[in-house]
Amino acid sequence: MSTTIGKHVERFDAREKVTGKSVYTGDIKLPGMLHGKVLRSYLPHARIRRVDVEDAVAMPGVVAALTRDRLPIASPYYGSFVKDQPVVALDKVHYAGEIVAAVAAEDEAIAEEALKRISIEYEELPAVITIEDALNKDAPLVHERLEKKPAVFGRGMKSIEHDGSNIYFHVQYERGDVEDGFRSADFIFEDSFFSAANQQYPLESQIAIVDFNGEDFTIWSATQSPFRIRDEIAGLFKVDSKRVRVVIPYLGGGFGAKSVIGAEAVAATLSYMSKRPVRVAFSADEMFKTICQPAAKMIIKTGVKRDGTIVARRSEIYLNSGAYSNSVSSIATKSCYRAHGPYRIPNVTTDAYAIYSNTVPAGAFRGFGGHQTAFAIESHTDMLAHRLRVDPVEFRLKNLLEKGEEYAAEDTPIDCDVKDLLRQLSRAIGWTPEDRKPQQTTTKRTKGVACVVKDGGGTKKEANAIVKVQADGRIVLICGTVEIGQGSSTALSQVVAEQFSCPAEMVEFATIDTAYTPYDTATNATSGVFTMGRAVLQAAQGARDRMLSIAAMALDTSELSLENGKIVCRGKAFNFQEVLHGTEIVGTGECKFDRNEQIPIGYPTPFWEIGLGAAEIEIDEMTGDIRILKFRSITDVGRIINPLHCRGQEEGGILFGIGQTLLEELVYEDGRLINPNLTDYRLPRFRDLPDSLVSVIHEEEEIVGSYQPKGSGESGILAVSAAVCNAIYNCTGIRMLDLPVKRENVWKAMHSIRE
Amino acid sequence: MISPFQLHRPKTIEEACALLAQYGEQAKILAGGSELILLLKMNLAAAAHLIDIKGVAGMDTIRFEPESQALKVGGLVTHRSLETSRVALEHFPLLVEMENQVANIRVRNIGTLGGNLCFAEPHADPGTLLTAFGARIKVRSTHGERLLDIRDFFVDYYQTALERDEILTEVEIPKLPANWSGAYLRFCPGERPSVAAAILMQWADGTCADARLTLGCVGPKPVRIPEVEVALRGKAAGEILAEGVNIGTKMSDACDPPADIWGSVDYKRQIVKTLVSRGLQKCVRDA
Amino acid sequence: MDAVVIPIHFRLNGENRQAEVRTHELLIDFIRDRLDLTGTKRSCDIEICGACTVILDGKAVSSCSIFAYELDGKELTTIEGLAQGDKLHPLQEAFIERGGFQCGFCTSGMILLAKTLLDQKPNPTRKEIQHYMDANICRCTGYQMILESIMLAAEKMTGKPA
Repeated sequence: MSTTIGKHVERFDAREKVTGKSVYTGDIKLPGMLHGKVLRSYLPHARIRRVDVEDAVAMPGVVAALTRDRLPIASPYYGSFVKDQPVVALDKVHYAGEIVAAVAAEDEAIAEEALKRISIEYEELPAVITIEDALNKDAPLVHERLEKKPAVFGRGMKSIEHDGSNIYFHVQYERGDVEDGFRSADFIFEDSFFSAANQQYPLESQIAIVDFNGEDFTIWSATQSPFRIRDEIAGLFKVDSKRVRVVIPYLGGGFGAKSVIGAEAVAATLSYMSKRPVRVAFSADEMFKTICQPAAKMIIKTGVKRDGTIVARRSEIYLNSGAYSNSVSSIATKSCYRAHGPYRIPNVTTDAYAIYSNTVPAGAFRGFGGHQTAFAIESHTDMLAHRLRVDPVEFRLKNLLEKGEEYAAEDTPIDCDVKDLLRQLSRAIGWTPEDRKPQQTTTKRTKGVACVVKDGGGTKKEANAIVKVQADGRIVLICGTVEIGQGSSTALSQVVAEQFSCPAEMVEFATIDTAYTPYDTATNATSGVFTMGRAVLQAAQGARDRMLSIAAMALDTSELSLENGKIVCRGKAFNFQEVLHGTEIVGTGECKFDRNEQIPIGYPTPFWEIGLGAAEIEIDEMTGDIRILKFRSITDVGRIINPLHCRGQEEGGILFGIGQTLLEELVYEDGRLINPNLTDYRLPRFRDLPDSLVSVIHEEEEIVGSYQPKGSGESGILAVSAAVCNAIYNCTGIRMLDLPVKRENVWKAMHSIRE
Repeated sequence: MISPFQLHRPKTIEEACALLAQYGEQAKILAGGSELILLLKMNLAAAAHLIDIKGVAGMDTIRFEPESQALKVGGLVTHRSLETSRVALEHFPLLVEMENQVANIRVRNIGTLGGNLCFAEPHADPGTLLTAFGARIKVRSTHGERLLDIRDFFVDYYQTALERDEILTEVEIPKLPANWSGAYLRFCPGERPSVAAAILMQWADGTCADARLTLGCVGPKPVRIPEVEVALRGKAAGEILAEGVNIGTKMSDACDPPADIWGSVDYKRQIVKTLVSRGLQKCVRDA
Repeated sequence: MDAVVIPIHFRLNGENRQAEVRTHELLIDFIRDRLDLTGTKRSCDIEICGACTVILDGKAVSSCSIFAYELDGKELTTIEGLAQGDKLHPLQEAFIERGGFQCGFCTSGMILLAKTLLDQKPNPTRKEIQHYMDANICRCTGYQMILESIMLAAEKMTGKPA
C-alpha cells in the first residue's frame, strides 16, 4: 500500500508560487550588479567590416563592451555537437538577430543608450532561408567546414558526410531491404509534409547572472542543463569545470528553449571583462531571435499489401537548423529513428538531415522532433487507410506493434498495449464509419484519430542522486533535475518518501548547485521521473537500508518497520534522529545506460512515451476556421506518482499541440523574422481550449510495491496535429499537408473543390 | 526604455489645451496610455512633455441626452466603463457588445474611447461601429470647439483630423429609433481584429428602410459603401437573406484590404463577404 | 533631460505608503525594484500576456504599461498582498489543490486577474471564466486546470457549488 506514490501531494513549490515568493533568476539582485544588453544584427547574412564602440564605451556608467575586437577569449565557440556558435559574431553574422556586440552598464537605461551609440558596417551577402534555398546546388554556404564531435551509432544506423553543402549532419537508419520490400508491395504511396518553425515561448525568457571574481565563475541561470552550461563556459574560458559553478533558481518554463546556452556566454564574458556580476536578460523579442523549433519537411513512401499489411517504408526528413547546429543533429537522429512509427514494418530506410540556413538557430522544443514526425506519420497512416478503403482505426490495429514486440533490433520492446488503448479511445469517442464520410453542410463536424509512440527518457542520459538523512532526522534529496514547472522536485521527493514510508513533506529538495549536486545530463526528453527516478530510488533505498541497520544496532533488534515517518519497534515509535544519535546517512544512486552496439541508436530506449489522441472538430466552410470541439487523449505513464502533475503535463502538451496545429508559425520576410512578438505570433489562449478536453492517464504497470513510472512531458503534443488533420480529411476530403493549418488554406482547398 | 519627460496634469480642459498649445510638437497627450506607453517603450514615439489629461474634469461621464437622443461619452471613458454602463446597455446594446470584445480586460480597464479613436489604429473596433452609428466627435483647442462627423475624423493610418493643438473631449452617438436592428462582427485570428463589419438596418413593414454598412480593419480607416446601402433600401427581409452573399461580395469588391500575416487580399475579401452576409442574417433575425 | 521626481501617496496591500517616483518610471519596475516585490513578472512587455497583472483600485491592469506615478491616491494589490499572514486566499488554495500552476511565472498575474473576476461575479459559469481569463496567457497548464481552480475558489468563497 503506497504512502505517497499515486497520491495527490501538495507540490513543494506550491505556496511559494501562489504567493509570489518563488525566486527566479530575474528576481536576484547582487551588490554591484551590472546590466548587460546585446546588439543584434538586422541582416541575415553579412560580413562585418567594422565594429565601432568608442562612443558607447565613453559613456559614463558603461563598464564593459564586448565585440569581436574586444574579446578576451581565444576560442569563443560553443555548441553541443559542433562548436560553431561564437559568443559574439566574428567575421560574419549568420542570421538576423545574431549578437554582434554587448555592453555592461550600471543600469539598463545606460546600457540601452550605449547600444544606440555602437555603429557597425556590414557587407551584405546572399542568404538562404528555407530548406529548399539551403539545399539548392548553388546555395551559398552558411558555414565553412567546422569540427564536429564524432557521431557514433549502433547497428543499422550511420552518419554520412556531405562536403561543400549546408547539410552538416546526415543520419541514416536501415533494416531489411527497402527496395525488395517495395517490389513485394501491391501499392506504393508517397506523401510529403511540412511543419513550420515555432517558438517555445516559456513565459520567462532566457536570463543569466554571472559573477566572475577573478578566479571563479558563479552563474545563476534559468537553464534546463546546469552541467552543460558549466562545461560550455569552462570550455570557453579554458578553465577546469570546478572553477565554474552553476546555481539554478526556479525556471519560468523551458520547453527546450533553455536546453543550451542562452544568455550565459555573453554574461560570463562581460563579467570576466568587468570583474563584476553581470545580468543579461533577454526580452521576449530577443527570445524569438535566440532559439526556435526547426522547420521540418518529411517525405514518406510506404509499400503496402492489398490486405493492408505494411511491408516497406522509405522516409526523408529535412530539418532547418538555422544558423547554428545547437542540438538539431540529435533531433535529426531521433526523428530518423521515429520515422517508421509504432508499426510492424520489416523493411525501412530513413534519412534525416540537419541543414544550416541564415535563420534563427533551431534546437530542442517539446517533442524534440517527435511531434513533427508524428504529424507526418499519422497523417500518412490515415491516407494509406483511405486509399485502401479500410477504416483508419482498423488499419492501425492491423499494423501496430504488440506489447512486448520489438521496435527495432535489440532495443527495449514496446512496453504498452497500444492496440488496447486505441480500442479504448475509439470506443470512448464513439468512432463509427460515419466519421469518415465527407459532409455537404456549410459547417462540418467530425472526428479524427492518431496514435503515436516516441522513444522516451532520452538516450544515454546519465543521472545521479544523493539522499541524505541528516542527524536531525531531515531527509534531503540532492539531484540535478531542474524544476521547470513539471513538478519534478515534488515527484522525485515522493519517490524518496515512499521508500521511507513517510509523508512527502519530510523530504527536502536541495537547490541545484553544480558545486555539490551530482552530475545529471540535463532536464529534457521526459526523463525526470524515469531516469532520475531510478537514481533517486536507488539512493533512497540505500539510505533507508543503512538507517535501518543503524537503528537495528541502536535498538538491539532487527524487527523494525517504517511507518508514517518514524521507525517502529516493539510498539514504540522513534523519530529518525533518535536512533541516529548524531550520525548522518548518505545513500547514492545512479541510472546509466550501457552502450549496446546492436541497438541502432547505440543505447537502449528507456521507455516508450505513448500519445494517443482523438479530435472532434467543426469547420466553417466560409472562413476555413477550425474549432476543436472535443479532444481526448490517452497516455501511459506506467505508474502515476502524482496525478495532478500527470494531468497538468498532458493537458499542457495538448495545448502545445493545438498551437502547433492551428496557430503558431515563425514568418520570415527578406530574411528576417517579421513576427518576433505576441502581437503577431499566436500562442494558444483560454479561448482555444476545446469545450471538452479529457486526458486519460493510463497506468500499464500496476504492480503493488513496485515502481515503474514512465513520463508524459511530451506525450500530449504528439497526436494533436494528425488527429485534427485526419478529422479535416474525414469531413471534407481535403488533406492538409502543412502545419500550421491555416484557415485561408482550408478555405481555398474547399473552395476549389466546390468549383 | 522610456526617456524622462516633463509631466503635466491639468485639471481643466482649458488648462490642457493651453499646455498643448504651448508645447506643440514636444508634447503628447496621455489618456489611458495603452497605446502611447508601448510606443514610447519601443522608441516609436518620443515626448519631452506628457500632458496627462486623466484628471481633467467632466470628460469621464456617459450620459444619454433625451433632447438630442444621443449618447454622450466623455473622451476619458474607459472601454470597461462603456462595457458595463447601464445607460449604454439600455440605449446602445450593440455598443456594449462591441466594447466587450476590445483587446482584453486589462487594456479595457485603462484604455479610453478617446485615446482609441485618436490613435486611429486601423485594426481597432470602436471606429468601425461608431462610423456605422454616424457618431460625431467633439474636439477642443484654445481657439474653441469643433464637432466633426466621424467620417471626417479618420484621415489615414494612425492619422486623424485633429489639429496639433486639439484634444478630443466627447463622442456623440445618435440613437437609432426602435425599428433598427444591428450586428457587429469581427474576425480576429491574432491579437487585433483583422476584418470587422458593422451593420445597422432600419425596418418598415418587413422592408429595409435604411441601412448602414461599415467595414473595419481593411484599409486606413473604416469604410462605408454608400452604393450598397442605397441598394438595400426597399428590399424585403427575405430578399436580403437570399442575397446576403452577393451583398457581401459587393462590399468585399468595393474595399481594398491589404495582404498581411493574417491573410491574402482574396482571403480578406472572403471574410468581408462572410461577415457581411452573417451580419445581414442577424439583422433580419432581430428585426 | 534629467529625470523629474514626483511624490506619491498610495495604499499597498492594505498599508499606507509613500514614495518618490520618476515620471517615466513604469509601475512594474517600481514594484519589482523599488518596493522589492518580485512576485509580479515581466514577460512579453507589450500588455498581451498578463504576467505583469496587478490590481489597481480594484481593476486588473498591466503594470508593464502604466506609469508608477499613477499610483498616487490609489490602492495597489500585488500577489504578495493576497494571503493574510499564513492564511492563503481561497484562490491561492484552489490553485494548489487543482493544479492551476506549474512553472509559476504566469501565476501571480493569473490569480490576481481571477480575483477581479470573482470580486465582480462571485459565481461565474465556466464559459464566463474562460472569456474573462482569456486576457492572460499560460504556456504550462493547458488552461483547463486553471479554470477548475477558479471554479473551486468560487465555491470556497460563496459556499455554492459551481
